[in-house]
Order: sequence, then C-alpha cells, then structure tokens
Amino acid sequence: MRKPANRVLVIDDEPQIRRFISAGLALYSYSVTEAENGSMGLNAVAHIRPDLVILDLGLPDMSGIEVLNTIRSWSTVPVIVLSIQADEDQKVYLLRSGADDYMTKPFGIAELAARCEAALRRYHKSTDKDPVVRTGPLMIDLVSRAVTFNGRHITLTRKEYRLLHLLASHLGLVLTHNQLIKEIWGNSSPDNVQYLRTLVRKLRKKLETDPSQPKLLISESGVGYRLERHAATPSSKSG
Amino acid sequence: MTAPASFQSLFERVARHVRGVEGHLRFSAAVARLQGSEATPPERSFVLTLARTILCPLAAVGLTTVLMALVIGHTAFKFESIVYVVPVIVCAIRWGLGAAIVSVLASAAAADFLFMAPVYSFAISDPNEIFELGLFLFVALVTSHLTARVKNEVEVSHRREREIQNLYEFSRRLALCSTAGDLVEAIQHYLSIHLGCEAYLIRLAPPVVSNDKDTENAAVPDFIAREAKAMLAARPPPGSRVVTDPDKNAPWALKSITTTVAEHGVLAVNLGKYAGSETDKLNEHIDTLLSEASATLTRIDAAAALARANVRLESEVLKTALIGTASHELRSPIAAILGTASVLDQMSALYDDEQMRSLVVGMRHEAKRLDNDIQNLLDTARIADSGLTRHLVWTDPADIVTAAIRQRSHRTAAHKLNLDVDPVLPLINVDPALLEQAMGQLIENAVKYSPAGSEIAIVARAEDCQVVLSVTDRGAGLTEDEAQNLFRRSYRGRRHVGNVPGLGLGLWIARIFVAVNGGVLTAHSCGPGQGTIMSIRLPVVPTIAPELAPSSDAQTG
Repeated sequence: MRKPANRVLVIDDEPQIRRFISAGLALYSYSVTEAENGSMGLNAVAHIRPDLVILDLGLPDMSGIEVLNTIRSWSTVPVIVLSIQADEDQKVYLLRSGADDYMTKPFGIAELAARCEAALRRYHKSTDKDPVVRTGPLMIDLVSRAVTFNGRHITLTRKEYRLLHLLASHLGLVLTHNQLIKEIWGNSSPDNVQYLRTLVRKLRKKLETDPSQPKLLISESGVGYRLERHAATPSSKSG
Repeated sequence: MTAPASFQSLFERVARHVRGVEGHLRFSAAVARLQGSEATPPERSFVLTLARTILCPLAAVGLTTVLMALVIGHTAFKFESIVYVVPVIVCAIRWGLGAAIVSVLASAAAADFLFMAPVYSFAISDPNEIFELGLFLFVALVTSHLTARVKNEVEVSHRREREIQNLYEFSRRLALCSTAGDLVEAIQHYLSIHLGCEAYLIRLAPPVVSNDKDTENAAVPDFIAREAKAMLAARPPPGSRVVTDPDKNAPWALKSITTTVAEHGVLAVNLGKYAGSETDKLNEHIDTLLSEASATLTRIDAAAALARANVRLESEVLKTALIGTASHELRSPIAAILGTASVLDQMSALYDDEQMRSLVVGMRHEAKRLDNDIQNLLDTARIADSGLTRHLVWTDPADIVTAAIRQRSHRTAAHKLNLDVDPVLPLINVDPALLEQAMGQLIENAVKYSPAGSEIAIVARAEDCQVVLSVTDRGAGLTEDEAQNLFRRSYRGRRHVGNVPGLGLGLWIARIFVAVNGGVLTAHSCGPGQGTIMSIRLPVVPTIAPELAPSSDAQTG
C-alpha cells in the first residue's frame, strides 16, 4: 500500500497460531515468515533480517526470554512478545529486557497489527521526517511543542507536556511506570507512581472527551501507559 | 503381669510375706470372680474371721506355753510374761489387732494359771506378780497396737504401689490403642483384673469403630444401654449416676466420658460388693481411669480425623494441579480459534455475506465464553494452591473501572452502560489486575442475569474512608437463598441452572480477589426480578496529597 511490505518473523510452536497470524498480517500487507522453535527463530532472524519479530514465550526448545536476550545481543529489531497469562512483573521484566511490546493470548488480529505498526513506526522514527504525531482528534508537533485537540490549541504544563511527548514518541506502545517516572522526575521512587497517576488524571482532563472513559491515554494495569493509536487501521474497527 | 522388677521393692516383698494366708485367700477369691463363679459365701468368710481372730491366737499362745513348760522343766525360768510377748507380736503382724488382743488375754490367763503361785489357779498371792501381770498386759497391748498399725500401713502402701503400677500398665496399654475397640478392651481388662468389676463402654454413634472386634454393645445389658442412651441425650449431660440392676439388685455406676472436643460415650461399672466408703474410693479410681481413657479417645479421634483430612488434601491438590494444567493446555487452542475468528472477521470476502459473518461472530462469542470459564478455572487453581500474590501499586480507581469495561466490551454490547465515575477519587494502593478481574466479573454477571437492552449502571465514588465501585443491573435480582449463598464456591441459583451457562466460580473468585486487596464485596437485591447491586468497597489510606508534589510544574507555551 504505502511502503514495500515489511517482513515479519513469527516464532511460535503452535501451528494454528502461526497460521492465523500469517493470514491476518497478510491482510495488513506484511510478508510473514514462520519459525516453530527458538533455534529456528534465531537462525531466521540472522538470515532473513526481518523488520519485526513476534515471539511466543512458551517455546519447546528454549525459553522466550532466552531468545529475546540472544536477539538483543546483536540486533535492535522490534520484538513483540506473546504469552498466555503473564503477570504484571513478567510484563515489566520483558519490557526492560528489550521487548517493544507484549500481547496476552487470546488476542485479535487487529490489535496485533496495531502493535506491529506502532513498533515499526517507533523503530523507523529516526528516519521519519514528519515531526507531527496524530491520533484521533489529537495532534502533537514534537518540534514546535504545539498540541491541538480537534484543531483547538491546548495549554499544558511542562510536566504534562513531557508525559505526552514521551507517550507520543512511542505512539501505540506501552511505556512502564518506571520509564515515565524516570524521564519526568529523574528518579524512580515508587511513591512517584502517585504523582504519575495525578499527572495522567490532569492530562486526561485536557485531552479526553470523557475523562472517565479515556480513549487516548490508556492505563495498562500494573505495567504502565500507552497513547492509543486511532484512525490508522485499514478497514473498519474490530474487537 | 509384666511389671518391671524395680517396682517390686524389698518393702513389698516383706509385706507380702507377712500378709500370708489372707493375701492368698483374697487373690483366689479374685480369680474365682474372674472365672465367673459366685463370690465367696458369707458363712465361709465368717469361719475364716473366727479362725483368724480367735483360734489362731489361742493356738499360738498354746504353742508358746507348751515350749515354755518344756524349758522350765530343766531350768529355773522367771521371764514367762516377757516370752508371751512373742505370740502377741506374731498375732498382731499376721492377723491384726483383734487377734493380738485375744492373744494378750490368753497369754495373761496362761501365765497366771500355769506359772504364778498358786499354780493351777487364777488367784495370785505375790503382789510382785500382780504388778508383773499388769505390766505385761500394758506392754503387750501397746505392742500389739503398734505392730498392727505398722502392718496396716505396709498393706496400704503396698496396695497404693500396686494401684500405681496397674495404672501405669493401663496407660501403657492405652498408648498402644489405635481404635475405640482396643480402648474398651483395655478398660474392661483393667476393671476386671484389678478391681474385679464388670464394665461396659457405650459409645456415642461410633461408625468409625463399628467394624472393630465386637467388644462393645454386644453384651451390654438392656437396662444399662437404656440408661446410657438417656444420659447421652440429656442436655447438659450428667457427669455420673448410679442405677440398679432390676434382676440382680446390684448397683452400677454410669459415668460419661467427655473430652474438650466432644462427648464420647458412657462407661458402666458394676459396683457389686463394693459398698459404703469403698464405693467412694472405687469412684475416685474410675475417675482417674476415665481421664486417661478420654485423653486416649481424643487422640484416636484426632488421628482418624487427621487421616481423613490427609486423604482429602491429597485429592484436592491433585484436582487443583489437574485444573491448572488442563486450563493452560485448553487456552492455546482457544487463542487460536479466537485469533482465526478475528482474521475471518476482517476478510473482505465475508463482508457481504451476512450469514457467514453471523457464524463467525457466534464462533467468537462462544470461544470467548469458553476462555472466560477457563480463566475462572485457572484463578480457582491459583487461589487453591495459594499461588495468589499481590502486586500493590498506587492506582486510580477510574482505571480499574475503565479496564474492566474494556475487558468485557464484547459482552456489554447489547446493554445500555451508564457510567458515573467521580473525577477526583483518591488513589488506592492495590493490585489493579485482581480488582479488574473482580470488577469485570461483576459486569459479566450483570450482563448474564439482566435482559438485553436493559440498563447497567457502573458507579465509582468516594464514601467516608472508602472507594466504592458498584455495578447495578435491572435483572433477575436475588432470592433469599441466592443472597445467602451467592459467594460460595460452585454455587448456582436454582432458577438459573440450565438457563444461564456458568460454573458458579466467578463471584467466589471476585470476592477473594477483593478480600486480598483489603476490600469487601457485597450484593444487595430487593428480591427476584428487582435487579441487583454489587459493590466493591476498598479502604483508602490517607497519604500526602499528590497534588502538592510537582511544584516546578510551570506552564508551557
């Protein structure tokens, strides 16, 4: 559609999962390669040089974390981790270990496609000329620091802008509480989670149509926040 | 008798030797009772008493007199009265005070008659001899009294020792008891061997021991069984009572055996020939016995309960492990089905085909339901093997509500959601994932038990020192039975079984997840058809107002 097809490598031992991811991502114009275990996956990462890796944590030959660490030792390729029932600590650990995002099974293909796109955009951001981030009615100009909502100018405090900037530059991806706190306050005392919550609440009041039902600033329980991408899906919205 | 030799002190051996004939007689009487023969007839015991207190002392004195007469024939012997002290002491030791007094009188008479002038007459001519005879009477009486007392004390202490030894043996035997049947046997053995009493134990509904040896209840006389049952039925139960055998006119003592844990039964003891003050002693004895026995019963019951609990625990652990593994294995295929359905949903080929699309929607709906059930089974397994750990984070209650609604968005489409979230709720330090699950479950239930198109109100507000999250529906409401049992594991309202699918786990899990966070989950309904309000109440710990913190928060252009 817009660019040459991005190559995605799916590392998962369940054939039916691989099959639906392949078929689904093909709808979003990705070209998909499959690997059924960790060693084949690592081999494929080295040889076909994918633009994105989708990695299942429960592999038969080695743990997903091990595969992630090995990939990270020589590649910065975006990695999205899949798992069945990961607790919050595990998610935070994965994100700290270099995963770009995670998805808990079961999930719909639209969600996965959105995460893939977000991860790829973030990865290619350095080469991206456009400094303006758009999601739904919100527009953030990362250079002029101007924020508009439905074309109306929004005034933000310094900390509010800093938070929005961080989330916007990772549009569609989750940032952990600690990452945000460190960037905004310069330290990561757990007490600061309260300040972060308060800051998010203030920001929502300015950006959300209904602050009690946020559509943009989404909380990922126990993990962090995500600025949701809107109006970027190829077809009508789905579950 | 396997009593250790250390118990048989020298003292005891001396005493037994001294006790002589009487001890043997008593022992053989006990054996006779044991063998089922009648007790010693009263005439015989009278003859024995007569022999012991009169004939034996007379014989002893006679023997002494004959020996002395032989000696005096050769030498001038002037110490008759002192020699007569010997049979007196022997009689006191052997046959007691009565026999001793008889021997004193007989000795005095013999000495007077045979050795004091005038010989062969009870008259005494020499005043010295009158004095001597008086002195003899005094010394002999005092000696016999003292000797008899020593003898008594020896006997008493010997009996005590024997009793202690028997009790010791009894408690050793109790320690080996593993069923109530063994215990009954031990008590009966003890009472019959050592006290010569008939005894029965009537157990209170003993299903655990019914397959034991038939030592109980089989031979219990009717009247005892009747009385015992009445005793066990009485509230509060009497400690003990005495009943009389209508046939043999013998008194029986009935004593209830109770422990701190429970009542165990009644012990019936035939008091038989024990009478008067001896009954008190026997009672005391039996009480000691019972305190030992009830401790053993407690132990036996505890051991049985422990064994049962162990079996239950093992099967529970197994079940939980099975659920955990099975659920995990089931989730992968469901993830594949749901993923595939989501792909089909986006296929342009299906867009125009209304029928195909509805099939895919149906498939996705059912798979989600299955996934929800499996999630509940997994949570149950987690709770059951106490794998539930909290990850406390300062959380905005509004985020919990939002996440729960998002989590159940596929279920709420047909209902009118009415959301009312207080914009300035205090932050709470909780595990948001667990509370989202709980809140999601409340929404799920509201959807399940209220008609499509009806309103579901979701409210989050602050109240005193609490944050209250509530879900109100206009559906089936709760019957009294449902309101009481709602939060029990695997409970399902009778009205809904068969109509509304479910495992009866959701609310049970929700309640635990809320409780783990220090909160309370409550349900309120005005009755069937009146709708239900489910509320999660979470405590708010006052902290520094976070608004005050970011002080350098200046405006940007």
